[in-house]
Amino acid sequence: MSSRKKKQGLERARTVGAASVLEGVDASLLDIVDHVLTKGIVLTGDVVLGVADVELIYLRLSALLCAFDRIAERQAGATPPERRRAP
Amino acid sequence: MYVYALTDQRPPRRELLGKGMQRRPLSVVRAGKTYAVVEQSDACEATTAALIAHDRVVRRLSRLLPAVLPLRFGTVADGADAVRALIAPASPFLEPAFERVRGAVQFTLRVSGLPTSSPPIDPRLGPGARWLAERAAHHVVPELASLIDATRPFVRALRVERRENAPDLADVYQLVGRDDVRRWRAAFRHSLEGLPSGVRVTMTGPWPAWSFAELR
Repeated sequence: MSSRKKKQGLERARTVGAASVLEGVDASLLDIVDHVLTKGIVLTGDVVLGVADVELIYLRLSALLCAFDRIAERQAGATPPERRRAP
Repeated sequence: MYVYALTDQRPPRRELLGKGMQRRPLSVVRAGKTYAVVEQSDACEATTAALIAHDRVVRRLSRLLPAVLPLRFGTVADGADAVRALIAPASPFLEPAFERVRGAVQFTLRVSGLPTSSPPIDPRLGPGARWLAERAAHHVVPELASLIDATRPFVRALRVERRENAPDLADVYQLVGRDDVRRWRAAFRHSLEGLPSGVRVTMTGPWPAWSFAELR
């Protein structure tokens, strides 16, 4: 890479200003916890049917598996959204 | 049996699966056209080491196989028949889920900083329409409009979760085909120059398609 292009690259990096990108190890650990505990498929023997992200029918609430966020919500007194049973 | 992930293709060689969080060899339980990757273990305690180990297994599988649906931490079944019984109700939804994640990886963006004002909801809307509009607003990040526009050509699917606890603004998950990763990265970095002042983005990845492993 020429020295002029190198200088332009450095100047561009400095002018990004408040926006910055971090690709650090700490961020990765937070993501691992988020992904593994709150994302991914949950196999409980039940099915949630949804249209356009709106949960229309929830057949049965089974025991949840080791999800910290659910436990934290219960401890905070949050109530889960109401579910309508299928007829 | 502890279940890590589902795939629609039998792994080429069992030894390539490696070992699970209890250091036991992983194996496969076939359920129709689906294969569950399992470990003979009843471990479920969500220690940091266990979470990292679960993630490591899923990442290994995602490198090995083209379509992997990660399972959330803690799925334990009492044998192969129980694994099949767990999978059975989800069967009609698995094929589109596999297609969605096939050959793709996820990038996770954590957005923080000063929020941009969202346009007010039309006061003439009825209660139902208002509820839908408020719910839709939860999945919009105006602070990232330029970034999302710039990366749109390379994003197969997008998921947005707004945060209510400042300075965290939102979590954004983008599903990108492996062949588009280089172009996505270039578009992402270029778009950062257009972010509003005071907005900060932390990007990690590529990850397996955690946020897109949905049954719908």
